[in-house]
Amino acid sequence: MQATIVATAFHLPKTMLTTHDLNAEFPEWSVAKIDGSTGITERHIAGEGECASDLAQRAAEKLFALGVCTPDEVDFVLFCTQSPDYWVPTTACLLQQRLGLPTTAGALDINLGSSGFVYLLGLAQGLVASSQARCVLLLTGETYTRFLNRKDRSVRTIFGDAGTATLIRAVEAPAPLMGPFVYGTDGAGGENLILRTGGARTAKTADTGVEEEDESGNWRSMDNLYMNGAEIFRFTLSVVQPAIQELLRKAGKTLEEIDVFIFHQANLYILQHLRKRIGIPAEKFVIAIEHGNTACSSIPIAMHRALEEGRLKPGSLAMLVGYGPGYSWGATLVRW
Amino acid sequence: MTMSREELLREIDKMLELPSGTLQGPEVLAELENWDSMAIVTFIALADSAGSVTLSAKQIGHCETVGDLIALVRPA
Repeated sequence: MQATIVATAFHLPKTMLTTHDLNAEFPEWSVAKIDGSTGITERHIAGEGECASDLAQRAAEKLFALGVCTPDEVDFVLFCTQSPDYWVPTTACLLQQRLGLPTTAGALDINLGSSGFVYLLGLAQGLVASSQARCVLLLTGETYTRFLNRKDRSVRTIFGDAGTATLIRAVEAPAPLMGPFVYGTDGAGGENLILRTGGARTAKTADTGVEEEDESGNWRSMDNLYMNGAEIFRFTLSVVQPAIQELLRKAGKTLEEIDVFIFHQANLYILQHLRKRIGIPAEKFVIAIEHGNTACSSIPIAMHRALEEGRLKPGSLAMLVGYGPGYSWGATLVRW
Repeated sequence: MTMSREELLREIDKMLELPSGTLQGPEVLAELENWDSMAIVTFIALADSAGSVTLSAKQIGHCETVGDLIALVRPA
């Protein structure tokens, strides 16, 4: 049996932070200039009490509403988030109950950022290929905006919240419809995109909540998400092209044989630079950044857009590439 | 694509929204109005395209002048 993607859906929170809002709040930020280079015009922000799992749940409900599957058919659910509801229990277990999935289904969370969707696909394919599951629900959800300092331009202009749901089914097919997979990890870069407190290593205290200004004029405390944008960009330039070359080598394909390229939607500037550097024609490269960098949800949202726009069609071969905090990265091919 | 020193200066002019021909090399980065974190990211991209060099934020952080930046892409 081979794993295949059947359908996707996504959900964005109602509250929006537009360029206009940011301009009004911080006229000195030159937000219009930033938006020109990031390609982001609005960021959806999770409401008070609205968790990553709520966004994923709404996306899953939209997926079920498409009629491609009923909740009782799902025999495994995987939820990718770095914003779980609780330390204990596993959020995917709570989603099993909230979505009405069978109690015979397996459920687990994976904690990854923008590389996460490729890892979800890899795990789902393994579950299907080893006959452990036949109908896998892949969920992503992230609420990074909750971790951002209001006065930190470097992240506030970029990140948005979202949740997605993707259905994977086992089908009879003569060849794999997903893969091969290339993975990569470099924990030495962990400190360049980090939320320092709130985990077991460093508790939140009054001291960790003290805000400081950095050399670029951005403010944050240890309780806020920190991103070293320049180092993250350098990391991206270092790993994406080699990962793609390795993926093509493993697949025995050339770049020209790929119909659609869907990269993590970090920001427009990075995407365009990568596209030109790798030599991907613009018409094959999906840009779906208008709602901001939604971390692990960005690839499935871009995939959904490509399907809606008819850029992904039956028989299309798509390359998915994710890269994010950890450092962590992954790439794979998906046949539609 | 390898750029000459002059071409790199003009690209940095553009990056910092200065009229073409403004920068010559000795200018102190900290004194340039648009030299900020976005400009650093843009310069990393420029070095990658122009000199096939992947620079770190730390390398750029050690630069004091425009000439120091150019030396990272076109070592003497």
